Amino acid sequence: MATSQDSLQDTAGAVGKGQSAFRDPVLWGFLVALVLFFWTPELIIYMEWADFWIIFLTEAFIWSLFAVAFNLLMGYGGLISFGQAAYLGIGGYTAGLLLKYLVWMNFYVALVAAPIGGALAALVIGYFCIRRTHIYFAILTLAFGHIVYLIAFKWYDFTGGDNGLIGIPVPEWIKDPTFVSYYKFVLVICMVSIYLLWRIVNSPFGKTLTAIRENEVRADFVGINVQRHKLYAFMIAGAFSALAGALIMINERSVYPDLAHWTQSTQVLLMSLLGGVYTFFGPVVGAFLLLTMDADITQNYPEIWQLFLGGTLVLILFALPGGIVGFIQERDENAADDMATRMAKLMAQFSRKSWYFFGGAVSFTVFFSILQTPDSWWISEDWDFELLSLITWGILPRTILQLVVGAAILWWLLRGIQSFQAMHRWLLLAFTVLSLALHIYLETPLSGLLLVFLWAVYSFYCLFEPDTRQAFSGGIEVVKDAAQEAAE
Amino acid sequence: MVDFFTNVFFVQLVNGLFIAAGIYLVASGLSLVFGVLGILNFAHGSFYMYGAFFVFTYVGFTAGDFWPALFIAPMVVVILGVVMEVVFLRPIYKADPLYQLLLTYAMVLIFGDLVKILYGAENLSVARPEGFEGTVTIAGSLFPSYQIFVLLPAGFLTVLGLYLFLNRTNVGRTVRAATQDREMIGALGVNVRLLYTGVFAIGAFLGGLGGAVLAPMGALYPGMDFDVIIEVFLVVVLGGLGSMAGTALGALIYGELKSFGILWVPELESVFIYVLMAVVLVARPQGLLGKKVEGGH
Repeated sequence: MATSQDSLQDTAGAVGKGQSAFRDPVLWGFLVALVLFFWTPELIIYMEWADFWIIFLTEAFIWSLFAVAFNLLMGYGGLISFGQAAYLGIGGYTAGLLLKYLVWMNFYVALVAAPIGGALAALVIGYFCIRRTHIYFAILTLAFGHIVYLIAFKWYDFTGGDNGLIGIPVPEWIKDPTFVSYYKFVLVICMVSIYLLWRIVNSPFGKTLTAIRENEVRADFVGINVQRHKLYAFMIAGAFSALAGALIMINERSVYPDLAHWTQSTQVLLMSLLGGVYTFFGPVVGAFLLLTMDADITQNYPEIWQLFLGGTLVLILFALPGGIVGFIQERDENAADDMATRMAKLMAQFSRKSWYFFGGAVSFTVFFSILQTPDSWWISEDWDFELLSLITWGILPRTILQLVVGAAILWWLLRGIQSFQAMHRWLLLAFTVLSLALHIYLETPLSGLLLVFLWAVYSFYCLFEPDTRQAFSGGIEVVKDAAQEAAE
Repeated sequence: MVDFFTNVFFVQLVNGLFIAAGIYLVASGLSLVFGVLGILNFAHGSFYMYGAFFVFTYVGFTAGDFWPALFIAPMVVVILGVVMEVVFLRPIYKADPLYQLLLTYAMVLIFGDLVKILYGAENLSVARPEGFEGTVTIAGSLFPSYQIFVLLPAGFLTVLGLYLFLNRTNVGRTVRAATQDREMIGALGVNVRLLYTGVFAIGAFLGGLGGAVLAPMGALYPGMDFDVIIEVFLVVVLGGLGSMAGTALGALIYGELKSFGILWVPELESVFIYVLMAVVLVARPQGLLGKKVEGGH
């Protein structure tokens, strides 16, 4: 046991032995994101955007925490839980019941009690579930999750049954009508929790968990206590899910059995898959994307939401098994290639993926536009014959313009990039940022915008890394020949 | 007094049989498909739901008789099942079983919303066929005649039919062989693709038949697929996944436990079965009659 963990510790990467936590670039990333998002509500208020976005961000961060906790099981442990919403419910009901029935109960104590309750429930349920793997594990978690739902649904005297628990007392500052103070509270808790989970998956424990996922028998042979590690993972996931549940409860000041319903488990499963299960931050991206799609669709067509989820799941399984973050990170690399060939291949791949992002963003925008304003195919009602006021154009002309002009520019830019012209990577970045601005200006559905945003991030990630920078600045001379060879 | 207790006991025993027959009709198809294809089909609950809704369509819209619907509805479900198998499942047989599981889960979502679009979100009901609306008296107790004359025979005939099919016909023997060793069956020259599609079609038929037979006994609503699939999972896990005899045994235990549980503690009747399942899984992880080795799943 000791030896295997020691060797695993060496591979623990950024937060390995002898390094201060403050050297960890991810920690700095977290701090920067925290500061940026902390002041986002002020921006929203200043820009006079709707309060909806503050509420939306609150939900998105709670769900991000839930999805990351879920993915500890799915991505790192290889255990698909179909009943993770049970812990959402347990957290919500633990904190809710404490606050509702114990008058003297302190708000923060109740909030801390939620993850403890979640961990304890996960200990009991996990004791049965982790004995089996794969499909059996899925069924067992589903069944136990359903018990939790049934208890919440049927035990009227205690949980209020399907009427839920309503009017749960919370401190005055949460009732802030601008929603800002609760948003900041949620943001800090979720960021800290997600960072804790990051430390967990990069600790020897997390590495051991991955080893178990890859080969359980071998992990057992080198002396890892497989069952105990799985149980701990199950408990950690349960605790953080329950925390997310309590945050949802506080947000609504009420809790209903639906919080523990299987549809919630479906959502979190999809978030992880959509973002990418084998990446830590994939579920966060997935949570944001799924919630924007939810906001885009349920405005007009709430009844087709499950249908849409199912279709998305099929698409992911067939076309995007690594999720979006997996799609961005995946590179066709060959260790034998020299730097020049490597760069040529990378840029060819970048071009291909850019086209996918372009196509995806266009189809998302069209699809959700049609759902949102089904009657404005050609022109919208307030069209005023001004060529430049694109905002009054209908979906179809706008899309054609987007496709023709956008594709022409993109083709020219990508051709330049593949022959390593220094200007073009800046131009491409500008192009993505400009598309982003255009989407915001035209108030197109948010899902397409988010995809463009991911594309911009990907472009930056790919075109401005040290190796590529060197290639573009002429540091790698052979590159242009290699690119031409690759093109021929 | 003694007479009263024996009477209650008898009534609950028979009620338990009703529940068992109903759940067996649905569970047998799932178990069969899992045994041969190694896929745990979440969408089996959808087949059940569609079976029931198609009966409603047939009886309601065409003002048709109930009895032909009992065959037609499952046959339409078979079409759905075959399309699903050929289009979606076939390309990913080689993938991780978890991906197959997720795919069937996606189908549940799609099928579920399609029912809402087609039939609306309200509860619907199917009238019991003529002549079976009333009750019959057996040994001094009243029982609904539909359950006695339709549900129980249907359940019994399914057990018998599946037994005869699997043990007395060549196709059935091939299917049984496929549950033992899928690669070997292919090597011996059996058309595995066709076999898979065929077995999936039989599974879909059984699911649809379950829905059709149970349709007159309760409300039809979107979401009934999910309510049933959890119970079906319980039954097949209890009996042993892939074991047909185990499924029948699991259904019997489930039915009687539920029936007597209601008598004892009405609020907790649904919890008993979960407790039992937990106990069984700790003592016998492969289920009551399941195969010992878990294999690659």
